[in-house]
Amino acid sequence: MKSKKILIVDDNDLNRKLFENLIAQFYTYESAVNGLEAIDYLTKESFDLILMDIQMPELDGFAALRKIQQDELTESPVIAITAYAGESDRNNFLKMGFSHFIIKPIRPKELLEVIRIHLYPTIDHYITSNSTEISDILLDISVISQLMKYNSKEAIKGVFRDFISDTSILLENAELALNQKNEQKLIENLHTLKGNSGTLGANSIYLLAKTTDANIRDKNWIQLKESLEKLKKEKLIFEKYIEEELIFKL
Amino acid sequence: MSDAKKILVGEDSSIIINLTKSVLAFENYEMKAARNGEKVLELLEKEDFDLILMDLNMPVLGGVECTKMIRALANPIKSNLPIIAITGNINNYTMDEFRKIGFNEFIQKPLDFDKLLATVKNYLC
Repeated sequence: MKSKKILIVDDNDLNRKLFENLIAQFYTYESAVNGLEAIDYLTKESFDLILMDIQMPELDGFAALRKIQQDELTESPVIAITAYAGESDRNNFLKMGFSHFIIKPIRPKELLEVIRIHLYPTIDHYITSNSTEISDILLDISVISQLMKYNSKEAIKGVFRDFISDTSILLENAELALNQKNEQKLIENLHTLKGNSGTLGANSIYLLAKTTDANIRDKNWIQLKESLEKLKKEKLIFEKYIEEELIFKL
Repeated sequence: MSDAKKILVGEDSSIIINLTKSVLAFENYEMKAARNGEKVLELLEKEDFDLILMDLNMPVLGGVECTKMIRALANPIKSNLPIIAITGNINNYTMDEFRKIGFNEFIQKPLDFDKLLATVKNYLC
């Protein structure tokens, strides 16, 4: 999963932490607090993308980019983060050699989207934007191995059994809510299902729950009924899988 | 009194409560769960905690309103506790908005428990 590495360059502790927080969910990263430190990193390691604040002490973002270009330190995209809002010089940034620029305040979704587009330029981002790197598999084993750090196999299996019975209840409630056209109740139930399945790496259920959630928001009742049926089937498949999966039997 | 750090978790999913509990127990943190924002406020009034993890989407009283109310509490120890938001919809807020509401940080759902533990540890060491 986390095969791409990003260099975060920002002198503001709080901003840097927030960037790290966001980026760590999808990529590995290193952080530098100014342009000099960034240059230092780039001479030693290679990165797939650089996120560069413009106003920094020591060596600012403009100067750092010039240095990167002069010494040919990387060919990876450099994305500028700037507080200068409403600039007429979008083109200036691009002319200077930044691949993109993002104006503060940062919107997490926008930031991640921009990063993704630059890291995976060949992937049509409209198709994948709703499923950021979540593959449609029954169970993401990497999630299990993470959980195993903190739990016994028995405990994890117990959690999955709870998840399955919880899912049954949530889906029943959702069907009831659909019959009553109770949008709020529908949203609540699907939200919990999305959170649970995502956290447990039950990807196929998670992706279906996302579609269902979208159906509710679009008030597409016919599609919604179908989506709920699909979810019920997927739940049964998942249940069988958990009972048979070897990983829990070892 | 034990010196184990105590964490209050506002979260309505029992699955996530259970998993979070075992992850936090790994570092010997004690955890109590509240199923909605009102219960968070009740527990916080009765007991002392060192940190709060707050889901944004909870019935009765959501995480945003609840956090604003905690920040307005008279007791400075309680009103200044670190509060970490847990949310499946990061795009609903900018980072500045998160900070203005009173959150110290946020963690995205689906939860990455390594990340969760690292973030919590950061505030409690």
